This record gives sequence, structure tokens and C-alpha cells, in this order.
Amino acid sequence: MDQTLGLSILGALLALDQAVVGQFMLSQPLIVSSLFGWLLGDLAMGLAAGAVLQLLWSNVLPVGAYIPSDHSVSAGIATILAVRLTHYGWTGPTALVWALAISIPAGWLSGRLDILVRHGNSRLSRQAEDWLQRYGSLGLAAVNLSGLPTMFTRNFAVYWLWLGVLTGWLGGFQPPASLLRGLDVVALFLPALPLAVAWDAVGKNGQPAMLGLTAVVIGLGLWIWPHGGLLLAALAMAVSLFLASRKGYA
Amino acid sequence: MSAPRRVTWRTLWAVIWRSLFLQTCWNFQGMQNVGFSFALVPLARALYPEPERRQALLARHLEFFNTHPYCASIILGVVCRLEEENDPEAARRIKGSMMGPLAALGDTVFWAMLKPSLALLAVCWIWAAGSGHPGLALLGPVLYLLLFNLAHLSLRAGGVLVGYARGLEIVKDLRRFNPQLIARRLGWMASVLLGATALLAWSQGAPAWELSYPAMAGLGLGATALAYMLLAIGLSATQLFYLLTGSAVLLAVLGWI
Repeated sequence: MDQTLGLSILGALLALDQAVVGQFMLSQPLIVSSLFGWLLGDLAMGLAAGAVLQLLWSNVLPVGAYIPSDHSVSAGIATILAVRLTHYGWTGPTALVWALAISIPAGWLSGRLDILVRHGNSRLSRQAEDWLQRYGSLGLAAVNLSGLPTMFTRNFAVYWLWLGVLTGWLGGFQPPASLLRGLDVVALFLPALPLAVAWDAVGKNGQPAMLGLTAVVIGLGLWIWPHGGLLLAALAMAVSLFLASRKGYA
Repeated sequence: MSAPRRVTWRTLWAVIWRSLFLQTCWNFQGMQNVGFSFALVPLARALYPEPERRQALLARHLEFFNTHPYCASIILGVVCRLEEENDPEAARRIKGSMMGPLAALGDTVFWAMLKPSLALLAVCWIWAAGSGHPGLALLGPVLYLLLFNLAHLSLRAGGVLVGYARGLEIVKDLRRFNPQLIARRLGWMASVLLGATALLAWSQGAPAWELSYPAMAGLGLGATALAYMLLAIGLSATQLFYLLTGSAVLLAVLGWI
């Protein structure tokens, strides 16, 4: 229970970075999952979850008044539950799929609560001038910074609810063999989803010829030398950074 | 003789710090209005010793405001300059005229291209390192945070400082700036990384499936293309995930897989 409390507080703090303060990308699934994986002693699971979840929602843009589901909360809870499931004997990829399936609604709920909080902020915004007249700049600061505890409480409540309730339930849950078999198959095909979403996100400004050429080069490289992935990735990174920085390219 | 400057570097850095809380009280009515006014508190303190005039300045900036949170720093810098020159009407007009274009610029460069491109860079590295080397793979997220925040914080701080230094001249500077060119360069970068990431992702499954690398790559890329087509007809990633999971579990229950 102490661990759940600590993780919920940390998750709620990280989720503030989503929009409320800073936006240093600390709330991104890649970072949240890696951090939780490392804290729970399973960095490999954290990185695997972070990689998949980061790309899975990469085409969702927080533009204008649109408030999407809270993917930071989904990713954090999914990683924690996936690591805990491995302690109950689940294999890593299958645990991740199951954890993700039961964590996505947490992000949805968090997003709905976010909308409610923003409506409450509209009322505060109307009162801001009054507070400014009465208490000066301190009044304005109080109105603005009131968003921090409100959002923290929202994030914490969702983490606490999912981790507190589901961890106990999952501990006693005996999955039928057919469910495990189905989840195994999903785990094998899972990379297709984040890759397709990343393709969709890059789409408009992407270059299909460059994508295909790189895929052929890397594919041939891996066929010839199956363990050279890291070197080939470094090569692809160098080429991509060169193309991104090349002046006059249009 | 020009009037002595009352806005100091210290004032501008205090505005930069407070700009991190621009969206803390984001709301559907004024959007970033409270955060924008909150960020200008150091300016009001620097310009006016009288509380009434400070409050008047801050109240003026409680009107509707919404733009990309990073690009807002440019407007904050220009507003600091115009308020110092005692031209509140120009400050109000420049906010209204710049917030739309800067929102489009920030959304295009940061959200639509830089974030997914750097995410691909990190994921490419993680999948290349493989699950056997988590310490090495950790460089991916670290690189992601460093590169993104290099761009982010440069704009946060530089926007206020340059906006203040250039004043209304910043509009001419921004006209020379071509976000589509940056998006296109990032698009090249993302394309290379996506090609590499896709192959690296699928190659890892080859031993488990007891398939050759070309067969595994072909199968994986086919699955990716199918998922892409389903996204193109309007399904979201979440819907696609539940569709895949539900179908697989149902087929397993029926004993077909």
C-alpha cells in the first residue's frame, strides 16, 4: 500500500507536466513508463512499455480547446500493473497488453475530469479581476496556482483508484488459457499499432521514398548481420539528424 | 533624452519563470488569460510602484488569450516592451494579431513534427538496443528529453528576451521564418527513423516466431500497413487496440488460434 501511495503521488506530479506546468515532456509515456519501470526494478519492461505507448498516441495533438484522454496516466498505470503482473507469473509482453487494456479507461476518465476542472477554472477566471482588486498580485497568483492542487488531486485520485483496486483484484485473478493465448497473439502484433500511428503522425511531411529506402537498407543490414541493430540504428539516427539540420533543403 | 529603462534582465527572467505556469488555470472562457496576466506580475512590479497602476496593467491582460504555450514567450517579450513604452493599446493589438499565427507555428513545429520525430529517435534506439541491454536503451529517453528541451527552453527564454529586444519589429522577423520548411526537414528525419524503427521492431520477433528475417519483416510491415489503413478510415489508435485485442481473445476462446 505504501508503494501504491508513493507511485500515485509521483504519477500525479509527473502528469502535471502534461499541460498544467512546464511541459518539459516529463509526462510523456516514454519518460513516465521508463521511470516507473526503473523504480519497480524492471527497467526493461518500463522501456518496452514506454516505446510502444509513446508512439501509440503520437498522432494526438493537444490543439486549441481539445482535451484528449490523459495518456500520461494511462502509461503510468499500465507500466505499474504490467510489472506487478509479471510478479504473478505473467510473461512480459502479455502482461503489458492486459495492463494496457485495463489502463486506457483510466486515461479516459482523467481526461473527462480534466474537462470538469477546466469548467471550474472558467468560474475562477471570471473572479480573477475581483481577486486582483482585493488582494493585488497575490490574489491573481492564488487564482492561477489553484490549478496545481486541483489537477494534482485529480491525477492522484485516478492513480490511487486504479492501482489500489486493480492490483488487489489482479493478484487473485486466474486468467483462462484462452485469454492468455489471445493476449499472446496481440503481443506479437502489437508493434504494428504504434508504427502505423507514427506513420500517420509523420505522414503529411514525411517522405515515403526515404522511409522505404531506409527500411530496405536496415532490412538488408539485419539479414546480413542480425546483431548489428544498434549500429544500424545509430547510422539511421546520424542520417536523419543530418537531413533535419541541412540548410536550404526544401 | 530617452526615458530610463525600468525593465531589467531580472524582470525578464522572472517573466520567463512565470511563463511555465501559463496554462495552470487554463479554462474554456479566457483560455490562457489568467496565466498570461500572472506571468506579467514582475513587469507590473518593475514599471509601477503604485498598486492601482499595477492592478490596471494586470487587469488589462486578463482578456482572452490562447496560443502555443512555448510561442507565448515571444508575445510576452513584446508586451513587456510595449508596456514599458506606455503603449497598452499596441500591446493589446499585438496579442490579438500574433496569437493565431504563433499557435499554428508552435503546433506545426513542436506538436506535429518535433515531438513524434524525437520519439521515433528514442524508440529506434530502445528497440535497437533490445531488452537485453536496458542500461544502453535508457539513452533513448534521455536523448529525447535533452533534445526536445533544448529546443523548448531556447524558445521559452529566447522568445521573451528577443521579443523584448525587438518589440514590434519581431513581426517582420517572424515573416521571414518558414515553419513549413522546418516541418519538412523534420519530416525527412522522421521518415528515415520510421523506416529503421519498423525493421528493428519486427526483426526482434523473428527468433520467437522461428521465421527468417525477410519473412518476419514482410509479415510485420504487412500488419503495419493494415493498421495504417484502418487508421486512415477513421479509427483511433485506442479503438484499433481494443479491436485487435477483442478479436484475438474471441478467436482464442473459439479455439481458432
